[in-house]
Amino acid sequence: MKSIGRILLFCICVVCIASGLYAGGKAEASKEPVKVKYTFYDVFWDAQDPNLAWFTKGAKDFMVRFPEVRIEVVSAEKWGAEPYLRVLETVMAKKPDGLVICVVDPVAIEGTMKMALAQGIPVVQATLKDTRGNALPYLTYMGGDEYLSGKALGERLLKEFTPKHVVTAMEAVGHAGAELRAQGMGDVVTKVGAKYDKLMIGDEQSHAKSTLTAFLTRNPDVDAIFTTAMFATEWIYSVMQEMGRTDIKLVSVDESPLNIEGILQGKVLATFSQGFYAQATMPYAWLYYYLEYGITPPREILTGPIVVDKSNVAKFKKTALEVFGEEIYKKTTPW
Amino acid sequence: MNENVKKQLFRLRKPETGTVVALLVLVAVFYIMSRGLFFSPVNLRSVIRVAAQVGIVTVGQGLLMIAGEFDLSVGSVYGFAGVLFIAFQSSLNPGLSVVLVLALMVAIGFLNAFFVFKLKIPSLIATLGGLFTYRGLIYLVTGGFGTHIPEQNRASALIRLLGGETLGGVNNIFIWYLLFAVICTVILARTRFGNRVYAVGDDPLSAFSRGVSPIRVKWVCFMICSFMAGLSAIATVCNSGTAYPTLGSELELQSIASCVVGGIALSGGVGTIWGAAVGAFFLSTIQSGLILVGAPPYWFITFVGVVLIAAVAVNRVLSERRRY
Repeated sequence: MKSIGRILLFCICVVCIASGLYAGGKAEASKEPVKVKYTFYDVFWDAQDPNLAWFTKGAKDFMVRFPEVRIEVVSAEKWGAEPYLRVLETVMAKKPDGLVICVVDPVAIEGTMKMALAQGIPVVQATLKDTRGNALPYLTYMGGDEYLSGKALGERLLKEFTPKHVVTAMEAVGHAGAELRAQGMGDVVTKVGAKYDKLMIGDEQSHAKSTLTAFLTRNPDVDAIFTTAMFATEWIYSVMQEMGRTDIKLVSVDESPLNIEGILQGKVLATFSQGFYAQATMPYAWLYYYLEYGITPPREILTGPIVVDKSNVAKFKKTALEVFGEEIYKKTTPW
Repeated sequence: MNENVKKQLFRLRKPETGTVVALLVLVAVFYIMSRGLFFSPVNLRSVIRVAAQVGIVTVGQGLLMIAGEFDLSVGSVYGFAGVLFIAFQSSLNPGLSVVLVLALMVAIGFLNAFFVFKLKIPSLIATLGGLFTYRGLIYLVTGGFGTHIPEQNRASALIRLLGGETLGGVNNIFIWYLLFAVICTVILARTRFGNRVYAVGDDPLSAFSRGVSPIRVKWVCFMICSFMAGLSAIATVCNSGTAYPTLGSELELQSIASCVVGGIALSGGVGTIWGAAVGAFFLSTIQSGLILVGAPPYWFITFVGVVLIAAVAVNRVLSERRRY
């Protein structure tokens, strides 16, 4: 009996140990990271642009929800077709499962994109699309409409007053999006008889201020300025202050801390949001659904423009604080 | 012809004289074409401020060019100094930040010279590398965002002294510009070091045979060049209160162009600091003047290119006439 009891005790111990080991192993297995099934690359247009923060945050958030997807956000070192193409070619060498691109220059990147599409890599255009329409079979376009953005801000200006002379201050030559924004603004304000000019101020602060000072000296009738570059908002306002022209209505682009605080303090009339956070997460989702389930998105999904002014700026401040964090938000706000 | 008159005419043939005359003509043309707007206080302030910002850098670049080298990194060094000056103020007071930034800029000049003279890398390549490196560091420091002088420091006496306004709304940067242009002019014209700068720029071998070390002289010039870029950036940031990642972009080309327009030869050994200082005014005048007369702003670059070629051609003709 004793031996039977010992055998039983031994068996119970073995079963306990075995089940413990099995359970432990299973628990360990569940702790193992999920195998990465897809690697997507998001090629951003300019490492100098603080809006990159929206995209890195969006990618991080997406990977938490979809751990089987790895997203690498890479960027051209500066704005321009050539720097962008260089990064794009490097990314292509890594054979991604999906690609999110910003069409900085449709012609410049056409060759590389044709190669990507021929290899069966699904490509989503985000933020800036191929303005030639259906030239290449991209999966979809997701972003704002640059022309509509300029138009929306023009209409916001008209809601405020009827301008006599509007100038669009541009920082980059060859920025297709900026040109479309300027065109949208021009089409709206010229309809009410306003004089309209485009002014290339460049991206260097002293040069930009000096150019604008000379322009406003020559054109004292300017009563509204639209800047197609978020950076320039502060430079323009400082020139307006220096010239005693804070009566000029200033409209800008993007929901950056600088513009949000500018609106709150009455220095900036309005800006527009093109839904950067949506642009930074939804393209990955569509790439995933396409690869996993074969679901094809519509040809175009617009995430903007949404005009941001005093009426809704608080909501955008909350999101910007979440994306940039309080420290950066404060640091990057000069006023 | 009277000997004295001949001497006076000979002096007038100097390239700097031509630059001054051209500048006066240009100002007159812009004044007339803009119907007097060129002399409006706000425009004059803007022209003077930009000329001074570029001019301080040009003083350093001019010294180096007379010594026979040039520095393509000054634009990025300028931007780097500006963002560092603000970054340091998160833990240091403005005074210490100024000292630290300027010391770092001197160290950058030292490093540039080290690459050129110890590692035998041509200054074009060594400073081109610096142009990219320091611009990259700017993005690293700023994260791509604009940065601003902390609010509690904006009213500090030092910041107002460096970038504020004094006499009749004239920006202090202009005072610094004049001061350093005069100091460097005196150094070049009246000191042994100045003689050596011309000597090594003109003929380094000949200078060496007379006991002057070209490397040592040029090394000091590289350090002065970076120091001046740093100083100009600090004064600019004190004035505007902000520094964006693009601060100082293309300033290297503007400073070299100012030197050439002001009569400094790219081959070295020829030119004056005051000529380069006038060259900075020349470019600033073109920039504002063209817009005031209604020309599109991108004409500035085209115009600068034309002026540059004309300046080099005129300087060459004048120097050949002086030789024979």
